[in-house]
Amino acid sequence: MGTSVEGIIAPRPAAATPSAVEPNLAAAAPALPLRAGHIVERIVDGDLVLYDQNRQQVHVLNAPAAFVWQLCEGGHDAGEMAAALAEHFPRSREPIESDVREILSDFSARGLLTT
Amino acid sequence: MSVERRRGEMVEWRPLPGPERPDTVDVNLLSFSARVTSNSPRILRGLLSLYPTATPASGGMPSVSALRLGIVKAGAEGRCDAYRLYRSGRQIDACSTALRAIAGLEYLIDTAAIVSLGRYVLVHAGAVAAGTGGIVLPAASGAGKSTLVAALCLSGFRYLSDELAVLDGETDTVHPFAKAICLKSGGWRVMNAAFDLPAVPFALTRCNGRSARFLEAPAVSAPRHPVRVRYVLLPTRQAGRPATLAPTSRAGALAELARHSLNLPRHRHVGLEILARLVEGAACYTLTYDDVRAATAAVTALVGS
Repeated sequence: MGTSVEGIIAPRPAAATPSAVEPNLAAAAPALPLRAGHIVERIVDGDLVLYDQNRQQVHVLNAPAAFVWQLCEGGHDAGEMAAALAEHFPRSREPIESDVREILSDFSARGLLTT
Repeated sequence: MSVERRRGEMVEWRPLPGPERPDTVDVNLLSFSARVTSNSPRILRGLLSLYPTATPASGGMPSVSALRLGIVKAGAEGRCDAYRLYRSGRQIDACSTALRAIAGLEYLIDTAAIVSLGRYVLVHAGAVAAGTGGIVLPAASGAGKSTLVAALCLSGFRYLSDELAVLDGETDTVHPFAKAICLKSGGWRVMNAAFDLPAVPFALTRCNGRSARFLEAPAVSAPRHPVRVRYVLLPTRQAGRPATLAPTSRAGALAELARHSLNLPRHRHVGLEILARLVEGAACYTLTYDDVRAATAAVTALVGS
């Protein structure tokens, strides 16, 4: 088959970094994460869908992951993102920084960030 | 819609029409065409059974882009080169039996058709129609697509395809890609238990080595035109589970369509846009089931509601 979708980051509101398939979660995200240029974004019925044109993979982000994705502009580190996320999702303040690092690590492992 | 037994729609071999035996058959699948010439009526009957849109050639020249295939029966059935297979006049293979030769033709025709229809987004999926709307059922090979499509067609849905959804980005529609419905051994057992099927269907060992039985597609009720996609159903067969339709996110349905696409890399971001528009115009559900008749009843209720 010509297309594979290894990772479907399914929308699950309660989880920060869900993923159906774990590629390489040890992958380190850049200090100032920046979205890779070959990723196409599309909002479908309120969910953010990412299409990796190089790997031919489609990812569906949950709300926290989509929030972090929007901050991957090359100017914010994980701590700043966690602070912004905590403001946006106040009830999940405590584990939020580790969640953000996990999300960024997942993005990086899936080739979604510029290295 | 009620579950009906339509034995008459399923025949082992489609008879050759007309008083004289044709020696050439044209297979047309949307804009793709193949012309197959053979001195073996059995081969041509097989093609007519496999492809409901195939017709004996009228005598005119085929289109310039048509795939040209020939099968020459050159010896007794069982001899290693009893059937010689030609493409554009050049021998490319030899087979010992007519059924192997038909399987070879099927492989050549299908792969060429898929390449030829590259302007569409092609998804490994079953597809049926009800009223003016289409239902697309993307799933991996072996997941039971053909079995479900066969059951739906026997319950009154119209047949589009049991393996390939041809999605048109210009009109947001799915085109018919009608072939005989291919049931592997498990699907055949399920269907035989649930429906009154012909005792001896058309059977082949396909080029992937797996044997399959073919139910002739209900061509009479198959739409000739594309239909708008109204539903995307993600089927999963699980032992012991009641038939359940549960709404799922359109984004998740898009990801499934992309996962089962055969040519999304060719279309890149435009292909994603086509799939996105398609799911935005459709209702998306997961369909979990064990019993194929219960699944059919659930889909019938959904479409009728």
